[in-house]
Amino acid sequence: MNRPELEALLQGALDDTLTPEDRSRLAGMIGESREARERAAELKQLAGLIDSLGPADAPPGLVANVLAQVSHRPYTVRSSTFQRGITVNKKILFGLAAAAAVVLAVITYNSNPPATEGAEATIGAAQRAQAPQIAPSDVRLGDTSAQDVLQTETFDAIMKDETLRTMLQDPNFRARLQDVELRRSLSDDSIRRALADPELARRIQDQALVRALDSPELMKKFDDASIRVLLANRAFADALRNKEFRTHLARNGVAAALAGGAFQRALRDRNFDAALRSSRFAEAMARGQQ
Amino acid sequence: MLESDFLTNYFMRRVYFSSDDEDLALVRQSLAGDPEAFGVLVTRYQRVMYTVALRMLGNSEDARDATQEAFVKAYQKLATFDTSLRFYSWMYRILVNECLNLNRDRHPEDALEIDLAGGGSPFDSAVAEECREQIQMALLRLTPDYRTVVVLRHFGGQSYGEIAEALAIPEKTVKSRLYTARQQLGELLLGWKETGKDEDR
Repeated sequence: MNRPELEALLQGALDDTLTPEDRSRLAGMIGESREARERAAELKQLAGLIDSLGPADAPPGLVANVLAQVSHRPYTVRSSTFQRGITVNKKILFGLAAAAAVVLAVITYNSNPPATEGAEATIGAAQRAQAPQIAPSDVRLGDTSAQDVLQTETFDAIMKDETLRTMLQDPNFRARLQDVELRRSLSDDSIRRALADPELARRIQDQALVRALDSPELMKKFDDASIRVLLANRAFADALRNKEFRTHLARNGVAAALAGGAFQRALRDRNFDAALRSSRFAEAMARGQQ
Repeated sequence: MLESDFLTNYFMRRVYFSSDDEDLALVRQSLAGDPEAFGVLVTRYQRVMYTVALRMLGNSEDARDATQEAFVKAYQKLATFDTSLRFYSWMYRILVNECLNLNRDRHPEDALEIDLAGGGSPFDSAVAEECREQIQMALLRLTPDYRTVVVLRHFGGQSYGEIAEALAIPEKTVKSRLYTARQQLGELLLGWKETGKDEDR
């Protein structure tokens, strides 16, 4: 066995960077070599320890404190570093500015005060060129990314899954899925297994669970394995505290749909978040067709 | 079974962030004078940034200050944001610098804060807390270079490429630092046999 190669593959496995060929090679090594199995176990244990520290909740008021501070600290726009999408327009505008300057010089030289209508327009362009800030109207939040999702196989798969589509029609559910931590938890393998538990829908409605959500003591005493997995994940436990979210999960097939391939592919799509915020996506879910 | 368990857990693990285009749109809105747009960015990234700061510094008060100051500095420098970077990579760069500045004159033991919150019996809580304390202490014993990559990878959910972007170092260096950081953590926490610490392994 090649020890450096094993180490590289194990580190890659920890960091989810292996190709299918690498995975197959690593699986072979782990299957054949006791040393490889032991090293894999060591690394798994270490990663588990590190990850056990888990995420921390930001302190209350952090956003307000930041916004209170920035409101007193004006910023300066230096458009030279903010290039995407405006470089060509800027050149044109500087050209117009130069033209306006020539026009102004001619007007001044000839002592001919009344400016023509065309000159006013040019001067206006020059003034705009001197203030290269991007107007709110220039911004189309998430439209491009959402469109990207609407054209994917992932989207087709969602549309074909009636349970998923119905679930994503609910604006509250879409809003909840905008939480990056919740999406991360939904892609976690242990959570997926818990969601695929056919008994989950019944247990999610158990009043004992509802009580446990507000009590760390009761949470620890919950004996159902799937529920324990869900409660152990902070983001998922937070979501479960919402009655509507629990109601969704209790509906027939919803939990399994969340664990299923179509939804998991959507979670892996970097534009899914934008789609969740997009009115076009919402309309498509409501219409039931692209 | 060990191999299937290992492969399942770690091949499937992924962390997702919001769309770069959406972040960029919010940056543009902020630059156009919409403070609420910047508030959306802060809200979106406050938890993960605070977590990274907490693991870098080991102290909630310092972590809060570092996170807050990093966002304020980001706002002040927003016009210089290079859009070839991801917004959160740029934020991490600012945050890590802030943490390193705060940490520079500290001894790791001085920074560690013991969090006594949590459920279970007092015995369970004490054991769990001691375990967390040891892990955090081990992180603090790493040199800043190693600590930063392991924190960004495990708590920031960043890929090699994203860490490289945030720290302005080659991906190869990220990998070797991560390897060494894990090796040192294994030695500190699990008694692994000490190996060479050559970063250019």
